[in-house]
Amino acid sequence: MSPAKTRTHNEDIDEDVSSADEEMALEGTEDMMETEENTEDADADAEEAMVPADKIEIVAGSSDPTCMTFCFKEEDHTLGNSLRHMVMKNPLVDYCGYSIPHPSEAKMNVHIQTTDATNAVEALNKGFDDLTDLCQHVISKFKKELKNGNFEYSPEGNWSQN
Amino acid sequence: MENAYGTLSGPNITIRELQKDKISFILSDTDLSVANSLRRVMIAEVPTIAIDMVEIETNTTVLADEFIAHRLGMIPIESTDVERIKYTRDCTCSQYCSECSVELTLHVKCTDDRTRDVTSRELISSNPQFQPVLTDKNDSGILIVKLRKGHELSIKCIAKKGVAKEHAKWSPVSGVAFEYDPYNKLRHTHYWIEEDEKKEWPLSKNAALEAPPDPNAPFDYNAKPDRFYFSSETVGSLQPEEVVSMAMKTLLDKLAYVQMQLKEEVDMKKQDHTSWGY
Repeated sequence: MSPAKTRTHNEDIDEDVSSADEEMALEGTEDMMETEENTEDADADAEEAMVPADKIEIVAGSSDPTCMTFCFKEEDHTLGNSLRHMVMKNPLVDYCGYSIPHPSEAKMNVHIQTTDATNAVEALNKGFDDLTDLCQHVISKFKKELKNGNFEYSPEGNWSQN
Repeated sequence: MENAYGTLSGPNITIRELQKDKISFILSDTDLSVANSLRRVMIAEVPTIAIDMVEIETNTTVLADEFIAHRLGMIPIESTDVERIKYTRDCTCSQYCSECSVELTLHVKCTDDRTRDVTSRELISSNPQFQPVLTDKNDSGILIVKLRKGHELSIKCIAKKGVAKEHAKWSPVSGVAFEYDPYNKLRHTHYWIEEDEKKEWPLSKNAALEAPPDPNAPFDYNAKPDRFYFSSETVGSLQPEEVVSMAMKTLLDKLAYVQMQLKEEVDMKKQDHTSWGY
């Protein structure tokens, strides 16, 4: 008897991942082709639509380095809101806002407008650095608390008497 | 200026309670957005191990194959060592292997006249680090199906690493309680009332940790929340303190990855448009 295979849940995401892998392979071959001969524009467009997009894209139309929009793929409020907050803390930044334009597209846009003293990419990088520092700080504080604390249950897996 | 970024004094954490399956702590001196990120990551982005694929050899029980498969998926599996397991999508193997999965088998046949309970205790793991969760020695395990005389269930389960963003079965917590401003000084909450707000909306126990506001004080429109009361219960796959530290680590990894991608994108653009001012 051959065993029946059953998934524990519907598998939309995994299918996306596997098709993305195939597209990756396609992209590779396309690159090789392009070195040999120029592919037609229509073909290139069709390929481009299938190629998995980068994690971050600088949204077209921002030729001004102090005012740019970044499109983050597969990110949401978790990154967006805290990043927005950290970028806004930068005194050289005039404005930072984020939005998720459509709920069924896994995209998150961050718009940054800075003073002339810096540019949007630098401000975004500084935002990342600051948020990283903050997270590291919280981790170290949490570890210190765990060490100093006297809890009913100790993290080493030993139960205190009760 | 250093202070403005929260690096000099920085946020604070106070752990109020830590039990085998519960943690409650206060995150203070930080922004709502940061606290909310921690909450979101704890719920949906901390990786754990859960059964993802089930090969059914024999199933003569009263439950359908997919019904049992779904029940198996929800069983928490000890995931303290998840970091040693790869995501299947990052693994070099063609389908699954011991580096990206754990195999659990179960074979039960009822020969008695009495009803036979099949529980998570009967799942035999290929990797002793990843076992179905049991609270203590006397825990009877999680009921999967009940068998009558002659019924048989023989299955092979493939447990994989995943995050609750994909399916809630991978969530390490059953819930995260999150509260700030218990007196509603900031008026972020609008209470629906019949007659008396004070009577109908009793204060939460977190209110005992804050000074009650002066009822005659004018509304402070510049005030921002800065004390966040977290309280979380795990499903058993991870210890509560692990959930918090792994959540922070997940957030850090995400930041590092996205920042690296940003650098790549910017370098690429620089090559494309040398006319840019930097």
